[in-house]
Amino acid sequence: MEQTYTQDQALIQQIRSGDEASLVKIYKEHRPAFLQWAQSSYRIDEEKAADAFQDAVVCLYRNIVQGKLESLTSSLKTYLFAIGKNIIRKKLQQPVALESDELWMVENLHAEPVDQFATNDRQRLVARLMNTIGEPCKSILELFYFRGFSMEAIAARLQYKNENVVKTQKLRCLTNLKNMVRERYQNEDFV
Amino acid sequence: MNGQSMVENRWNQIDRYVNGSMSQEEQTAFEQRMRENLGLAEGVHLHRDILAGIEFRFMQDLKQRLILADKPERKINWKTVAIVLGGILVAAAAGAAVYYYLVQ
Repeated sequence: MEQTYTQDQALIQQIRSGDEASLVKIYKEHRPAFLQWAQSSYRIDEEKAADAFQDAVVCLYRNIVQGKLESLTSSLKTYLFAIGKNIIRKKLQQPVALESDELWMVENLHAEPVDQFATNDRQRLVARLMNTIGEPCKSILELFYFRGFSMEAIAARLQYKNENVVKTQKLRCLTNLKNMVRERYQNEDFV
Repeated sequence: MNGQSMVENRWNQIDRYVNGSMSQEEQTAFEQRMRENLGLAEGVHLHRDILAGIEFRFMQDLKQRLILADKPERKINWKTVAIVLGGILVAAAAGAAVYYYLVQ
């Protein structure tokens, strides 16, 4: 068991350093067991079980890169199943009994369905506008706000001269996005 | 400071406030300004929505990549390739033999 945690901990480190292939490895490794368990426990079809598992893996990723999941007290499989159970509960809008350790996990980690993450129309609009902002904005915003990279790491990864250039570029990208949102909402009060 | 720089400076302050990278003193002063200036408060609200929207978009993108990972990779079926190539060779050889026979 100890060995398993060590391997899981190594996978977490790899994901945190930007290795998405490790996340896909976790996804493929635990998907069959989760689907079987979810279908038999909640009487949902394979498509719904797969959808919940994809959301659980996305949440796991977010928890890792945002530093909410640093050292493991259980196996990654246990975390994934606890997050997945909470997501199914929310999707089905049904109460599901959680074990005490699972309760701790979902209270301390992000464990929401992906489609419920955006809570208002403005957030959903921003998500759609991300199609139009182009590069390098998309990469900078993803690396900084979603993958938790430092400015220095982004400068190295995208081959900028230094972190100050990235800071300036990131601010311009946000300004563009805000202007696009303001145009849609015509909020003249702001700025 | 020109208008554009003032706007950028203001948004930079909002970004630092939302990211939690202000000192305690700066944060207290900023929150006081928010209470006095509804435009600034709305700016913070908009900034939070922008960050949530950005994150939502990348979560959707990551989910799509996981869905793609489910699809089986298309592998080359070497047995089929060998049968087709063999068939072509046999047909070419037969054609050459017929041609040679007719020419003779």
